[in-house]
Amino acid sequence: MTSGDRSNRSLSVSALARVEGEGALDVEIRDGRLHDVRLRIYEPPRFFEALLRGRGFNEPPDITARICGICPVAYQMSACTAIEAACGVTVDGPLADLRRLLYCGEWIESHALHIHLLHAPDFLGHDGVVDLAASQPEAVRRGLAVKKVGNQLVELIGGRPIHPINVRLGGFFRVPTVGELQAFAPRLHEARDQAEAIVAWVAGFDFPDLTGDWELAALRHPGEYPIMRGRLVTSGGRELDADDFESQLVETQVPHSTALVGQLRDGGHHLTGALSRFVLNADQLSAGASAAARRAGLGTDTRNPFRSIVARAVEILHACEEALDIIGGYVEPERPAVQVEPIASSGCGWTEAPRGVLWHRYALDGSGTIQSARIVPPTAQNQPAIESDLRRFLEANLTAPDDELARGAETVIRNHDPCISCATHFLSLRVERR
Amino acid sequence: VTDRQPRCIVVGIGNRWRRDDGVGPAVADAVSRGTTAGVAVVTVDGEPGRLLEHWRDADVAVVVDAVRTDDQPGTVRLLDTGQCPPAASSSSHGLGLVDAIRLGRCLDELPSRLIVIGIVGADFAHGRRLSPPVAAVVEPAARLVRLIVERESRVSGAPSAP
Repeated sequence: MTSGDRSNRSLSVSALARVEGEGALDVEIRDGRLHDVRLRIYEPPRFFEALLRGRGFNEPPDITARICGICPVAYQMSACTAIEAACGVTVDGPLADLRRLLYCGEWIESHALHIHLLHAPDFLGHDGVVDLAASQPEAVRRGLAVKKVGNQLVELIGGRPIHPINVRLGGFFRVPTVGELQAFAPRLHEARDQAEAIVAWVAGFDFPDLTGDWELAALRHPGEYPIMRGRLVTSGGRELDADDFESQLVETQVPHSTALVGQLRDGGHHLTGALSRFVLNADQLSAGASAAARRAGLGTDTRNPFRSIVARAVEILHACEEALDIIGGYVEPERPAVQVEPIASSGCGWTEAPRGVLWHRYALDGSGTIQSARIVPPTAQNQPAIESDLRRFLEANLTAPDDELARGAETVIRNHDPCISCATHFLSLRVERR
Repeated sequence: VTDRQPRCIVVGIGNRWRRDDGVGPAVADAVSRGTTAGVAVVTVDGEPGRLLEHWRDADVAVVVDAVRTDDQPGTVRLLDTGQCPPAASSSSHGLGLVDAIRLGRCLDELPSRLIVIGIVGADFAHGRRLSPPVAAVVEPAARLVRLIVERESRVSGAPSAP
């Protein structure tokens, strides 16, 4: 919806499509200048942190998984690592490998979904995946095939493709046999080759000019691409442990959002997610993913948010290769889980959800009853960065017709694959020109 | 005559945690309590990729989903899949059954016969319980699904539900 003359207008997208969750965007233009940009998040708050209080310490992996149908594994893994940290338990060896393998499945399915069903249509002039499928059916078939392999991998390790039921503190209820994993490998080999083609496909898109002004933030751990562990490092030179994050993050409430907006203390907006992971960890990519990124022209100096779709495709390839590597070296653990006993303590944990760093903290009493819980999802952290991208994009395109402006703005938002459901967030565009 | 066993699938779409949105899975549950082997019954969240995975190889697919219309809550309608309205989904991805049908048509990944049953919901708030008028039609809708499966199976030679 638009109103006003050319120099004074308001543009409203009242229900953003192709994002996860419900939200809207309001843009106000006065005297030909951008006056205000508000990303309105009106999906109702869900109070997960409150409802976790008083529950047993072994329940958050299943309860928090319900926050999101796209990245339940991320919630399970962050919950497990935080509670295990509180209880002084470290899960390593084959059980840690299996967790990573499960997470690879989620990255594959989530990234394949976002690229093909939500984001790629923007770059090819289509209104959505149906139009894209009409013009490039093979590309959509390929994307859905890769997504299916990701879902199947989550099902193989997690028991079902959505909201896995096989995850518990300390590991799993049941671990797969070597034979089960090896039987799955051919599908991953095929998905790996398809992912290579996806990287080449998205690298050929026409990307608008835009340079982000964010501080890139991602986990980093020696010898591995960040998924399950690490310190938070930033392009601004910060290094934080999970225990430090809460004191360095400032969360504020804004009137137009039901989500808290998170920013690092003493800094501008930071950006977490695929592009940040790539820039800060490109040296740790698998060989094939690294080569594909080079061929795609994706370098560590990339700051154009539109090119995040290429980083996401590179990460699909990396996840396929890493999954194959884990399967190749898999030795069935003696026990499906290590014992985790509650102690009166507090613990923090974080992992790299497909959309970025997902941090959890739990305080337990001696019987394992949760005294407090706090969850910081990636989209809540990225909201200021997204609004900054929107301002920069809109200021550079103020004379464009409203429909063009709205379409561009929505693409800017989709660059960061926001999950409004996770952040209690997301999207519809209103531009006011006055 | 073919050696291939025709496939029949019943798909219940919805979220059991959003009250009447869970009527698709509830009907699927009711159907599965009496289904013979050879008729698959699944429940899904409506994400198009997963829908295509389930029905692409089927000869007959009967899909049950909650709908919002001005009709009385609990109204059961057979929907014409050839005249799908523009997507108006409440899916968290803004994509749902209508998109899945259109996508399947573009990719030639629709079942040979696709029958969609829409049940008008009244309450899509958080919670597990179906509203009374919707709960009251779960068993009748399941009987309708079984009749359709039986009829379509006779036509296509697929195994039938009782």
